[in-house]
Amino acid sequence: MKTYFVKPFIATLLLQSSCSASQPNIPPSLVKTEFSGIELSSPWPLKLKGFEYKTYSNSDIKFKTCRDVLDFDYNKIIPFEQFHFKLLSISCNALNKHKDFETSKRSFFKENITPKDFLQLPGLSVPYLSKTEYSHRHNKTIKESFQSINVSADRNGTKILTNDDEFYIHILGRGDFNGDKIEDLLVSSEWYARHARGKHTDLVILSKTGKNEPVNVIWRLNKL
Amino acid sequence: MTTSTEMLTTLRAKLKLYEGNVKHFYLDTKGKVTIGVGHMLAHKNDTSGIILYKTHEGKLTKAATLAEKMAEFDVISKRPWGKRYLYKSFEPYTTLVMKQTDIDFLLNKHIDSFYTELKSLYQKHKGYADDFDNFDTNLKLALFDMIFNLGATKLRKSFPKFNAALKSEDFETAAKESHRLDIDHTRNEYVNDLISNLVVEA
Repeated sequence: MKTYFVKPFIATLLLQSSCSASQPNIPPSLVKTEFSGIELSSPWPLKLKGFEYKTYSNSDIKFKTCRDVLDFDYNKIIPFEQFHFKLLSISCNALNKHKDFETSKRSFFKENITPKDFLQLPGLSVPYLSKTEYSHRHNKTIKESFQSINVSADRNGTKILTNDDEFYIHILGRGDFNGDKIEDLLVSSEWYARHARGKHTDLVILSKTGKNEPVNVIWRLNKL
Repeated sequence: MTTSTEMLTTLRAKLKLYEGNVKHFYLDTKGKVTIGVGHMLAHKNDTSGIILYKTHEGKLTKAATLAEKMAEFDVISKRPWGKRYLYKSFEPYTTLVMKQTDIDFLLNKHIDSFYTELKSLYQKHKGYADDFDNFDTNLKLALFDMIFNLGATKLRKSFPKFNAALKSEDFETAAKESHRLDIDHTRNEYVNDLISNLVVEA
């Protein structure tokens, strides 16, 4: 008899627990296709395949793990190969951040973010080159930051064209970064000058804490 | 072009340092076919504007036909690209190369185009101390470096304090305001030094 009463009690507890678990728990996720050349199945600091760059001292330096990349000063690499290295560094920094992402209870980001949705992200989600650009885009969306703008899906990611800029944006991962149990986005971007030779890249974490709240940059790799 | 041979040599060397100097086709980080000093070819028809040679045992033989150049463009444009693939990884898939003189000719055309933009941006009647052609050589070199990187519009709009300081010949401030976030420490220092060492003529 005793057992008879205990069993339903346990069942109720499990049911409550399962009710709690049935709230939208969203595990961290990673867009694995964005990390070509990095062995994601290897333990941190992750093995790299065939990344070799030339330094100013004319020696070749091979990077075997993401830790090697994160510990290396890009200023030592010859300028022509520097951007390639910076892109690799963005990937390694993203994976380093993402390994600490936690499960979220809620998300205010759409599951499928379309190219048009990218225009509502902060103007500072994409690289900036000067204090003036930073100030101009502060508290503005991408759409509000640029006068003439065209967005499309491209084989390189979401492409945003303005009169002078060519941006590519990639969502690399999702998860709770800052412990508020609300899902954040890990986003990388590239900038190319349309009428010159400049290029730049950055990594940001974006947060949206309510349906009507704006998207905010809560962390970025390249600070002003 | 009103730039000395010495200055042109410096500009070419700087661009080769920043953009590379590659004799064969490769894919840049956007997957675009590129050759020489960052000369991007948007379409295979653009190969008509460059001279490529066949090679035999490391020596240039005869000039490639348009069909051969377009075929090579097709081969390279279909290769995978991205951060794993530096320019040198494309060499085994190429059979055609450019001569250094032809690369330099193309490069001179790019420099000429930037020069035209600089002359238009920096004019005495716009508030600068003089027209671009009469600027100190070091200032010209610094401005070329900035326009290579930024383009004319960004140089004008994204660096207003830099331009204001140039107008007032406050070179110390101009040097500080020339700082760009997308380039390395060495390049920023190079431009900073070119400008900060200028002196106002009495």
